[in-house]
Amino acid sequence: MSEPLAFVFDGRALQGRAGDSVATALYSAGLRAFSHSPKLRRPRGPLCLAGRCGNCLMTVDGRPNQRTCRTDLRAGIAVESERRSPAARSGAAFTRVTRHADVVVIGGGPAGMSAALAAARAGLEVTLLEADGALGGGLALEGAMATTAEGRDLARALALELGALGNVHIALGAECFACYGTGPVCARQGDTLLEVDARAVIVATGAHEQPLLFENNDLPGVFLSTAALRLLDRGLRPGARVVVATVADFGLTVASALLEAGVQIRAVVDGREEAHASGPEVGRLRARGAGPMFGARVARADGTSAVEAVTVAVGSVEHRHEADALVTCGGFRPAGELCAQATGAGEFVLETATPPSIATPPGFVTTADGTRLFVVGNAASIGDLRRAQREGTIAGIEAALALRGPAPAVQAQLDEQRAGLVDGRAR
Amino acid sequence: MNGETVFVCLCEDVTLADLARGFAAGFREPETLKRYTGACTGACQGKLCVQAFVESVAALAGRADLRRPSVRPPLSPVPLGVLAAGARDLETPAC
Repeated sequence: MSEPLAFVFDGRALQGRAGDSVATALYSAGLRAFSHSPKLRRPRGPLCLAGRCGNCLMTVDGRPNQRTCRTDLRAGIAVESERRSPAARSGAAFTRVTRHADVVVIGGGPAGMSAALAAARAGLEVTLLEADGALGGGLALEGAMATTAEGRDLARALALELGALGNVHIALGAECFACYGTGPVCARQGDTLLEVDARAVIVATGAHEQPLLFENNDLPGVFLSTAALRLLDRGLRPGARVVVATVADFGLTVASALLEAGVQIRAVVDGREEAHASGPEVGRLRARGAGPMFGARVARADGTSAVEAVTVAVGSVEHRHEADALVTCGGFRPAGELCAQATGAGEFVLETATPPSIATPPGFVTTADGTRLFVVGNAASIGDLRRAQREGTIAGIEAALALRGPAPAVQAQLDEQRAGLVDGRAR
Repeated sequence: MNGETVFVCLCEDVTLADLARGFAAGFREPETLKRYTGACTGACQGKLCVQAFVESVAALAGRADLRRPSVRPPLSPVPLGVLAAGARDLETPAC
């Protein structure tokens, strides 16, 4: 067992474990409503557990609006819910650090790590920004599934290779919040403003899982499927009796992972027709008596301060399921916001089947001041792991050729990588 | 379903019904409806809501050629102290 850590929440003494975030510690202590919504004061619970949503904000050691899922639990900290407007307290020491590099890679998932490796091996000075406390990105989620530890092993292997290179600076907990296309890329690392001045920017920010729309979709107990995996990874469960609703194969995979962990699945609801779902995933669920209901959607969730029941609609017929959690997967969308900032271009989000990317890989977009911008992996469009790695590698090599000029050996590597592309996208 | 409890944007409490009211009031583009309702302007900065938001506007407008609203820094919550860090002229007032 990991080391117990005592802390205080709203005046109550609680205990978490080393490795917990404040959010997972509170969740395992039984808390479900973490905050109240700004206008309607409706209870809200952790939704993404990945630092994206605003549902788990609390005051930590006097500092308001902290995302508790991104705050490591430490012994002795005081956590307060924010029922009233939080009182800001000054006294923190803020610092500013400027780094210079040939290339800055934003995102330490498979695409970003591959890009950093390729650029560094070609001799460039690389700064790699990762918002999380560890490298891995989506690979950490794959590792959370009981079926395979492959993702986590790959993340560890790539991180080891990067750590062995002297010309890669890895900034963990560094969340990039501004990429103007001119001037430095700005990240927040704790109380430090980290500015990275680089001639090439590789955006490898991955994807955002999307929620589903239904009545009372804001109730505590509604989770994104990636959040359910993050709970499983901490030995926690989204609920004891769970409905899973999805429009993508990933949701079916998570339903299997929940079953594997001993969670009772009340229903698996898939908005697609069966012909569009992955046969093996459907087979796995059917074999365990949790076959998906296709062409169905969640009509509403009911409950006073958390999910108590989920009503599913198939056509005009409604089924009500008693459940204490609803795990949803509305598919994934490229995390293209930084590119949109840098280029001023909006991204189309309607054609979800083949979302066009802003800077179509493989190739650099050159911004106003000559900075080269490259978007790779899921941040460009949703794809698989091998594609993410190949695109990252191509971007790293291209950065070297663009900044250092022609080099036959480097060009040969690029040609080899490009041979694996089909229709301009890695396969 | 009247959409009064279907939350498109959780951070700013914007429901499908709010979007329909804003649209009826004449804010018929994602860019202007965002400003009118506050959708996609909260802590998540649209990471979870922008797709549902644009799809909802598209359904109201009966159009499919809509772009997402513009994206501006900061993309995630940043304390003002971090933004001001190292700005010496702010630390020593002129008078």
